[in-house]
Amino acid sequence: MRVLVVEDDAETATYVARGLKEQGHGVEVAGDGRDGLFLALDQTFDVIVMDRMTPGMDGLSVVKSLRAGGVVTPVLFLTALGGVGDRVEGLEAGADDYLVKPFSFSELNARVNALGRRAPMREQTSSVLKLGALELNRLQRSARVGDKSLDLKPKEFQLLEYLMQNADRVVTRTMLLEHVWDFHFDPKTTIVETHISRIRAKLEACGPGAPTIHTVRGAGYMLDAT
Amino acid sequence: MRLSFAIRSTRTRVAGFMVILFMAAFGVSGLATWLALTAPVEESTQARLLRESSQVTGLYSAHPRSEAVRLIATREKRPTGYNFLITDPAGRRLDGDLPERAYPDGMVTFKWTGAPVGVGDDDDVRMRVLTVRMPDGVRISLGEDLERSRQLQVSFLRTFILTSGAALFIALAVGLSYVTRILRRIELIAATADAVSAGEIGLRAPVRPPERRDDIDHLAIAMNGMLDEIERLLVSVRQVSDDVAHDLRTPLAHLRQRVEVALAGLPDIDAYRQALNGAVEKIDDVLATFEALLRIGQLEAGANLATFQPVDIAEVARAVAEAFRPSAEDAGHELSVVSPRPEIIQAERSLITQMIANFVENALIHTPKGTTIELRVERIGPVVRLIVDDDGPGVSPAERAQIFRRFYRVDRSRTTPGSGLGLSLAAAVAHAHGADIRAEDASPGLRIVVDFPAPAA
Repeated sequence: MRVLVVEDDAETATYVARGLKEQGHGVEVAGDGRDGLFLALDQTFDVIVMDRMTPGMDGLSVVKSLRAGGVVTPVLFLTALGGVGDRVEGLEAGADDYLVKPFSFSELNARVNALGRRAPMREQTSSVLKLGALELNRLQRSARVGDKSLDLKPKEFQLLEYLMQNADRVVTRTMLLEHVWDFHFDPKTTIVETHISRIRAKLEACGPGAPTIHTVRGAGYMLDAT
Repeated sequence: MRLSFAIRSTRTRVAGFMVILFMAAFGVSGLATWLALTAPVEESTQARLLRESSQVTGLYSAHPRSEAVRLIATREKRPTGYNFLITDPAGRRLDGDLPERAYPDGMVTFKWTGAPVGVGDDDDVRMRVLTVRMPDGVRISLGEDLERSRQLQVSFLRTFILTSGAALFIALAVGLSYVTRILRRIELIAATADAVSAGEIGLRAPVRPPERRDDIDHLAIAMNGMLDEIERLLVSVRQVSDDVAHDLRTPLAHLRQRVEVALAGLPDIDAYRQALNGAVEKIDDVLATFEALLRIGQLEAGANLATFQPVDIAEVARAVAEAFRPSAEDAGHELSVVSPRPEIIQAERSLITQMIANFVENALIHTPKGTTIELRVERIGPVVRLIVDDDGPGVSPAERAQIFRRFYRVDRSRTTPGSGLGLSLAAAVAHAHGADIRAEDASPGLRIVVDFPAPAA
């Protein structure tokens, strides 16, 4: 993927750019909002990582200008502001996701990957998601592995659905909390872990052929066909 | 200095304004009264004179001369009668009290100097005289004293000027003393504001007892309320910085120790990796505490208030319970929700979610296995009430009042995980929503009650 990083803090910019390059992405870095806007309008990127408070032109205005100019590239906001209103404001301006500084690189990477895949996924209107022998019917809210039906609670279904949409990619705990439960804070309890282990148990009960939810140490979870 | 000058100038302006206003008002009303009083009098005296004259001439025509003269004289000698004069064709007086002379026909105004016979009390007499010549040469004159109405006008004017002058004086005196009193009270309020700006943050403007309050007191009350709020915010900001200094120092000290131990030399690369992982965890703890403190600070400062929308808090409670139920069950707790109806409040959904989640987590962490946690949402009159009950060991009454304070930890839970911020963040969320939060005895266990204002029906 080609990623544009707009960040005025050189240390953070280098850290993000180096990490993304190690993941095999092409990275362009802009040091202020105006340069970022010109680059984003001039070239095609898969994802834009945008600091919210950049010199020259602030992140909110850059995103608004991009959207007004018809650029639909997914934007991930980085911000030192963690207030509820700030997140809503960022999303309303046209950003697609939001990450509060300081963040771990694995969190950023997972979100960039999810955003990069998002556009094609959006077009996938099919009501049935398939991975290996696992099949999710999104209209009937039912799941089965091969010919065995899988009895899932509503949140378990949503969680599995989100993992399938991001199959073969790492999904972090925070991403799951935000997408499945709409929790924008970090609970001290093991909500995600408990749900994952229950789904795992149900998948394993279906015998071989069901996809596996892997735990990626220090990063999150990944669903793959094997 | 500037203030007393301002008062003086305000008073001068008020006085000037009042004088101009009074003069204008009296001038207009005086002129109007004058016109209303004089014009009709003038008109009606002439009309009355003409009417009387036609009566008298009618009387004359209807009777023989001597009889007519007698009748007319009787008529005009009544108290309401006019001065009159009847002369024969040779000009001799037949009867009457008007000075004898040849009056021209029609209406004429005469002036005598020196009191003539039987007319007026003053030296100067002005009369309007109407003379009609009858077909046989007899002339009948009727006269009306004009001085009487003039005197009326003069005395009206005199009284008017005297009364308006007195009214102006009284109004000025009363008005100015009133304005002075008000300005003195405003000066007091301004002096209070100056003193508060100069650092005496606890000072408040004086307010009179409720039954004697006026607009100035409302101004003072509003300013005092504002000062209370500013003082509260100042204290809360100071509290946050104290908290940050105190409670972030300990984990940072631990972090430093770990790093120093690692720098001193570890046996192998795995030990280093472990030390670094531990360090990152500590940093995350510090960041989480920092984040919670910031959020509490933001909420207490009244941020985010603009984004409130109708939220069904019963539905939020169910969603939170659903999220926590599996982990609660794994930990041997029971988690239930009682919320018969949707209950709508004006709120920021993600904050309400976090608040309820914090209550549930607090109960999960601080109660033993086998405890039941119950969430209840119900409408009680003007409030939508959220109740979080557990049947665990509970909290002593003395400690109950403290549990919403930052970093406060009940003695027996010093060793359990948690930052000591969960409930104070929940309390900050409640307060930001205008809700009342308190801890009670669930006998047994702890009950937390949050009363949200119910939306107007």
